[in-house]
Amino acid sequence: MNISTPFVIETHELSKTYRDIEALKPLSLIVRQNSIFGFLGPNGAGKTTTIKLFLGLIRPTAGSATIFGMDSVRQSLDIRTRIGYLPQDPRFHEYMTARQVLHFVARFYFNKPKKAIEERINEMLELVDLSGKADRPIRTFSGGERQRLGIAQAQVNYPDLLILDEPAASLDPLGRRDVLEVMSRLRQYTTIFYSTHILDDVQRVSDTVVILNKGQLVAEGPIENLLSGGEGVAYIVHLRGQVEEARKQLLSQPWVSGIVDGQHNGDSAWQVSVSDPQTAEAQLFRLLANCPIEVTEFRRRRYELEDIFMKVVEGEPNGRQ
Amino acid sequence: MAANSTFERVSGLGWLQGFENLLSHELARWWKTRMWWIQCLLWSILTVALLNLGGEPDRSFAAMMFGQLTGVFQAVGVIVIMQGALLDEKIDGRAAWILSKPATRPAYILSKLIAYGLGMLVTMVLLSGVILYTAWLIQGTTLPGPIHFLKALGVISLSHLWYLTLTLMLAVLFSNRIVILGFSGGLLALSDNLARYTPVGVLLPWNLTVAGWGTERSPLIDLLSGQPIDSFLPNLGVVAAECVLFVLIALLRFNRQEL
Repeated sequence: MNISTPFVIETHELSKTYRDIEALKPLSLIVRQNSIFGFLGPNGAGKTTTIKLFLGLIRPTAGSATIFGMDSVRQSLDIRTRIGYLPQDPRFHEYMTARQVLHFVARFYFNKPKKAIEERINEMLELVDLSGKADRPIRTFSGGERQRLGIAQAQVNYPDLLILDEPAASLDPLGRRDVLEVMSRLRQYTTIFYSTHILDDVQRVSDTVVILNKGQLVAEGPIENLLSGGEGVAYIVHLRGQVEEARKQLLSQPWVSGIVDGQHNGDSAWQVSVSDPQTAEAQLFRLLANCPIEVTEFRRRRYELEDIFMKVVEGEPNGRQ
Repeated sequence: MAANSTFERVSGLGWLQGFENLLSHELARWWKTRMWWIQCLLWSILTVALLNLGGEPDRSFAAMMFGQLTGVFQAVGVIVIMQGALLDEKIDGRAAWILSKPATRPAYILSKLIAYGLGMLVTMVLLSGVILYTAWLIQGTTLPGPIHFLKALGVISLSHLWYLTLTLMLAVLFSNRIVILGFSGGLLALSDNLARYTPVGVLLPWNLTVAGWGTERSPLIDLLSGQPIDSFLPNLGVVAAECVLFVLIALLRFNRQEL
């Protein structure tokens, strides 16, 4: 994906206020085609509000959202023909079977041919491993089975945009893995916009992430950029031997901006901050190799998404990447 | 995902997009579940019991009680059934889920109105009417003409429609079951007094079926007795107009409602 990839979702200062409560503060974001866009935030951050704004289920207080270039308020019906949506806590009519639910959903999009519709429904049932329970009433389904049915119904219409609100929230680890695999597979056909508070999932499948907190966007960017941290690139180096000589060598380089000292199992543990990542990547290890030291560990510092999340949610915004 | 060209896509239905699917879904809820026979059983038993159809034939008593059955018991049934039709889906998110599909809000509301209207027409009005007519036929009572009898069922349907549209409108306006049931049920409970002591009575469907205070007359009772109902036409007109008003309010309000 590159900068020329078309936008599927674009919002301009989109906001929503309920009486005195700002559920969503002015939000501007772009979701590119065929991306898996992770929409991250704690409960009450404004994730579901944003999704409902996209679907035309609620109206913005200010700002606008365009989806496929269409206005989310005025052209909601046209937008919805191209979207698949999984609600946060999917509820279906209890007396219906999974197959009936999928038929019901399919009829909103397709008239015929019946055989092709039936095949599509069977394909979806198979995708979420519900073929064996397709004709049982939903009241007999577990939470995970309902969630899987929710995922199936969201895809019946071959959506150009799949909006999933907490798709893995009520699934066990195996169910979560399956959902993430399905999402990865679908990437070549569709754009996926999904909200979650499960950080590990986001790190595994998303290519772009937005973090919302208290209705406000607090971090945004490609997942790689976020994981490299907002404070510039740094390397973790563990070494032993004549470390002072090595330190002098490094600090004399114009692209080394600082070294933070530490200890690890008796070795010196440095965090070397660099101002020119490309030069650092080409030269840093070579420079160390020429010093009278033994390098026991060398890696680029990588944040876990949880670190980033905690940092921005606890009030240390690291800005947009 | 690239649209699959194998399918013929639904298109061009404007403000009623999704209606056909929603209506068939709502009808299935009535006719492909236990709902229809539970309703049929309930109203059959109540009709036979209240109208004393197994006892001595008494047409005026039966007509009077038929007014009570339809104007009170069935009106309660309409309110109870209808209050959950929309409210449950609003509360648990099914309404939002359905309206995330290409379906319009008027289609959603109208599908409920028509399906529930039909369901109640058949399981309450028609069934009770057929039972009464058959009993009279068996008892050898003088029967009202079929047109008069059908008009009588039309009057009951109008009365039920009033409670149905009122409850639907309230379910759009409020998300609190107690408020909806309290308002519509309270109105029903107070109808007799309102009709007797205030001019508001003409706005209510109460005296379409239940005999007016001291008159022992209502359009329903008169029609079952084979009499004209010209004097009741204003009341019928007002109630019909209110039904339209309730539906319009429900449609307009729901169109802007946040789900």
